[in-house]
Amino acid sequence: MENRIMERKSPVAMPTAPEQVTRRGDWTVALRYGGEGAGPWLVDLSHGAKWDFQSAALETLTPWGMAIPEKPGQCRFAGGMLCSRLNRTQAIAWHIAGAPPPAPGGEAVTDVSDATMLLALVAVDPTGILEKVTALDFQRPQRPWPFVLQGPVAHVPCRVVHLGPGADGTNALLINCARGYARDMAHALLAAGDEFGLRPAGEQAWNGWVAAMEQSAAA
Amino acid sequence: MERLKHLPTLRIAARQPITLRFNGRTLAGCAGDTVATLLYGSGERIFGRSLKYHRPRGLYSLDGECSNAMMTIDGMPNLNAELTPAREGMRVEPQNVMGSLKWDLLGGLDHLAFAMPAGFFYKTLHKPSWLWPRAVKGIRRAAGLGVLHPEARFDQRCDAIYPNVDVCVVGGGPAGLSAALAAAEEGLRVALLEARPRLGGFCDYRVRADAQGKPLHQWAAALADQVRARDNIRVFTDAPVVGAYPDGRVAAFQRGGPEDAFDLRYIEITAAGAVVATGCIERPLLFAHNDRPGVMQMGCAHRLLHTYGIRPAADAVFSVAHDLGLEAAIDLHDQGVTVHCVADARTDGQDPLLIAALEQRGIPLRRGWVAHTAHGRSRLRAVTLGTPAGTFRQRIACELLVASAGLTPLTGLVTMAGGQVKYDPRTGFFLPVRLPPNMQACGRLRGLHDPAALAADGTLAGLRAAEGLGCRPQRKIAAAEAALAAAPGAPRGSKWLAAPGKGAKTFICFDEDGTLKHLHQAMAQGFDVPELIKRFTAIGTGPGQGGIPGHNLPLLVAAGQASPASDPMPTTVRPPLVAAPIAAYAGGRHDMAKRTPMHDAQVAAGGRMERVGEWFRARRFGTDPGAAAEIMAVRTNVGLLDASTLGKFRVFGPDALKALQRVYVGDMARTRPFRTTYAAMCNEDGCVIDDGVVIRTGDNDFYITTSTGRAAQTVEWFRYHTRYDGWDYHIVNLTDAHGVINIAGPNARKVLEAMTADDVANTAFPFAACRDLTLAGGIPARAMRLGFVGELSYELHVPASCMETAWRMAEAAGAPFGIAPFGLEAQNTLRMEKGHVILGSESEQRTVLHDLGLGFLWCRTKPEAKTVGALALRDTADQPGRLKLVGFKMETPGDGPPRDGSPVVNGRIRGYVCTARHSHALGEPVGMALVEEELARGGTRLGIYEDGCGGRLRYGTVAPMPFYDPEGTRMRI
Repeated sequence: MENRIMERKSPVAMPTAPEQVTRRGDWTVALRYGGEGAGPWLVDLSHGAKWDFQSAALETLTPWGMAIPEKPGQCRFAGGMLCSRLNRTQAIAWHIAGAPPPAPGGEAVTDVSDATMLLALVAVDPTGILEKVTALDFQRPQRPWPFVLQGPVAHVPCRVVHLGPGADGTNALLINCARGYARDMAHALLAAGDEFGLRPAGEQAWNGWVAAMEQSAAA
Repeated sequence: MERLKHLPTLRIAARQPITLRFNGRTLAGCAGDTVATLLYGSGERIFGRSLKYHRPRGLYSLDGECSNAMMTIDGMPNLNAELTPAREGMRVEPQNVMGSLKWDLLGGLDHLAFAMPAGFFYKTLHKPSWLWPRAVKGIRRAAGLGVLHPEARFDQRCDAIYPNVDVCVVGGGPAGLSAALAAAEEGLRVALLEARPRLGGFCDYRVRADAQGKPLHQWAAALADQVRARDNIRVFTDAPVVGAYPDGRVAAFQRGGPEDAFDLRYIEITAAGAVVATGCIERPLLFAHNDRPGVMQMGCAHRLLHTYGIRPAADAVFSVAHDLGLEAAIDLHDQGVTVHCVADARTDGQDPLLIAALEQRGIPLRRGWVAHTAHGRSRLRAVTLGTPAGTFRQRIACELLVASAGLTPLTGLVTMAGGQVKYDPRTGFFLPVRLPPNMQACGRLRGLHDPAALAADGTLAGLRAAEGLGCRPQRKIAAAEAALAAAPGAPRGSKWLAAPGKGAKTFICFDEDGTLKHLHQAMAQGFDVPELIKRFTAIGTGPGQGGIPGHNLPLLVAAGQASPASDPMPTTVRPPLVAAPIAAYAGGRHDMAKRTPMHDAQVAAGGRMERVGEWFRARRFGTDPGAAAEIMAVRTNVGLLDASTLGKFRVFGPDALKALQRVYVGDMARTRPFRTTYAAMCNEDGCVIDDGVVIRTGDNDFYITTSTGRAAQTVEWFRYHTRYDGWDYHIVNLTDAHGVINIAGPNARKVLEAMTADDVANTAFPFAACRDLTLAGGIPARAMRLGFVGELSYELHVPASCMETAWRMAEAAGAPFGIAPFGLEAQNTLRMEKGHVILGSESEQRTVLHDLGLGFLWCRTKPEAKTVGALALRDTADQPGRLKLVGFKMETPGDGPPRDGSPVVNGRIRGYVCTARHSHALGEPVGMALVEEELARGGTRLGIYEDGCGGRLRYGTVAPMPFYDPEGTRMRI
């Protein structure tokens, strides 16, 4: 049998086709959508690698030289990898920007890249959009960014990471749920954000936001 | 009718006319009107007909407290015109009218009221038994509200929000506004919910001056402005609250306008603290024909005048029991309404300033008098007033009777959230005596009335709510307490109940046409508590949610009881507190479902997708309901099934085996590397809850599959049953991570061979084995040889993102054989022929492992106490009287299989058909049934009852299973 071109597909279906795409590995990644404007944006990041870490001794693991956050709810972002502590024995790591990292090894690690979808919501004030789909409280002031909350979004169990405000005060949140719900989740979020002008955006917009945030943090 | 345009309290835009169609006529009003005020302002006095007696009904309240103003608006029935903003071009129709509003053909039912006593529905027309089913159809046609057309579609924009706040204040009157401000000043996030379109509560329409000489509407407006100016207060107007719950959630729904992005919005607020400042509604005055058009509440008349600029009538009589009634009479007089008389049920206690104002205007005040009878039919013509005993009476001709027995506090939220109320003889109110944690009550709800007292009480409640959340406003609390102590306390309330008479047309409940006589009848029959009387008479069960009768019913019951010491007991308040459209609860209507990676491809291939649990799955491809071609393709050739919905998990860690031993009834220690082991999970009762395969992929590493329906609960099931053991094991849900392609049929191996360079020959990859293969293009696949459909079969578990590529590859590899997809219907028949069970189809809640013939899955040598369900299995293994799974064939194959679920009847119901289909392999219908054990012997004749069979049973015979390939050779080729 001849070798076929492997095509890996994101489960997220945006209502419009992207204007510019790129081939990355076996993925076709949307770089830009028409009419992205200044946002708010919904960006599909499902193609990024994701790993699940489970161990009774999570604190001993240092994937990519990064210590796993100590307390449930805490997150750490470095080198394009976002690591979130979910509970006493579990953490997750998502590749959300930059060059793909090597896969971490060890029994505690499971590749869950295809298990879940990942959407980024970028908005100056995402509260109006989020409160239409979830009762999770992202505004409680005492939480330092980034942090992760677990709970229903549009009635679907989700993990939501609030990355905090970027350089221009724009906030970004990452919404992660079972892959099978991807289409309806994107639809629900876009419908919730319709009155606020939420629209699909490509990876360029997302990378721009991440770069600005990193510069801001470095400064 | 000309509107008053000069009033400072007007909330309409008198110069922006709007028109709507009512009952075939065009009526005009102005922006800001509700449908009810527009109709009233246009001279309409009859709004609809009552539920049972078809009595004419008119405007009574303005807050939707009863069904009088329920109408069909733009095709949607049962909308309350009092709460529906009027919009240009609306089509409004009255409800429950046969004929015209004025001449209703069923109006004569009013004279047959004697034939409809309390408990009518429970006692009348039930003997002989055939009578009721026929009678009830006629009754339902004659009685009722609006009719929803089956094909009606409404283009409503529905939405939902779930805000989080620190303090949720319910009620936008003076107390609620003060509470919101006080809490916000402590830096807390506050939400304020108000049922009416405007803030200000009962001060919004009042021109009377407060102690400082400022008109109350101005004072309330100033408070509202302060609230709106605060960034940390979110105000929701036009948002009636439907429920408050002990976990801190407060639910409401909000009506949106053209400028909003929604027409209806469900609001569910999560709040750490709540302040209830819901105020009061009016307690209806009970007298003969108190429901006539032209009788209305004091607040209704007052607001018609001051909020909407409508003089309610040219002349009026007042029969009230509260100072607000005197105030309304003065204001109506000042705006040109002739007030003939004010009867006040109270003999004393009136505000002297109001008495002086009445005297100044020449309005007679009759202390201790009440309305006895309203005269007229479609319009009020006169009213008879008199002393309570009826020793003195006076008939006065008038267009309008403003009637009210006083106020009653809205305590529903308090009791719903777990608080308690008790009757207070001084105020005549049910007052909160115990509040739920983190809930405060304030304002008129607590019996207060004076504006200064309301403000102080609201402030105090807001500060106490803040204190409960960790703030330290002790000084402010002390100041608020002092202000409250200095302000007037709760005034004495009216105890007046009902005018003398039999009460045959004295309506306690407008919605259900429930009268005082009905109440007396119920009590005479031994019903002695409001909860029971409510159910027996239907009083308070209508769409007004008990708003009209809610207070009078318990007072009347207490008064009618033999013991004078009986305290009135309110009926239980349940959500929704106000009638809420179902669409409001539906919110954004996002039907969140899961799709497999092959969803679109299956749709494109003609797949009929169905919702199966949380997933969409293909039932069949094509129009044949029996999916014969798909079945035959698998039996004779090869087919493809998308089985991605199967639960898939990685279980690993030093104690992983212990966890598996706990939840599976089999001995998981016997699992061999890369060999599938069929295993079952039972609950504590030994009932089968799940089945799947377990594969050992490493020393302490396992890959397990579960049924589709159990996947979402599996992780919790493991954790729950190992919660006290402290075992070091972990479980990762990979259900969505892997797509599953099932290649099944005699040619399946040839297809797989074309997809991979790995050796998949029978010797290298035998039945029940598991192999990690690499498909063409480098796609990793975990392949298992299983035989659910009874043929040579491979399950390929591939990364979900690669699934479509792998599927296309299988299609291309199978093209030379004519490979075709098959769906759940084909799979169901194929596995049934093989005698394989699907949990949920061949099992129900009581079905244990042995009932299904799966006892071999239970390892009796495992320590019983350590395996979930093992103890019960020992008891049920030989338990007599259990239902057993059997196969059966039909005696008359030409009639086809019986329907799933048909009862098995041999003298009495003795089981049911689980699954029955036409077997294409056998050429006859076969099925599986759960039957009583004594019927399970081979050859037993089963009588099967099918819905619609007219009592003629169909017959089948118990037959051995599997029906197809009993030796299992085809799976092993």
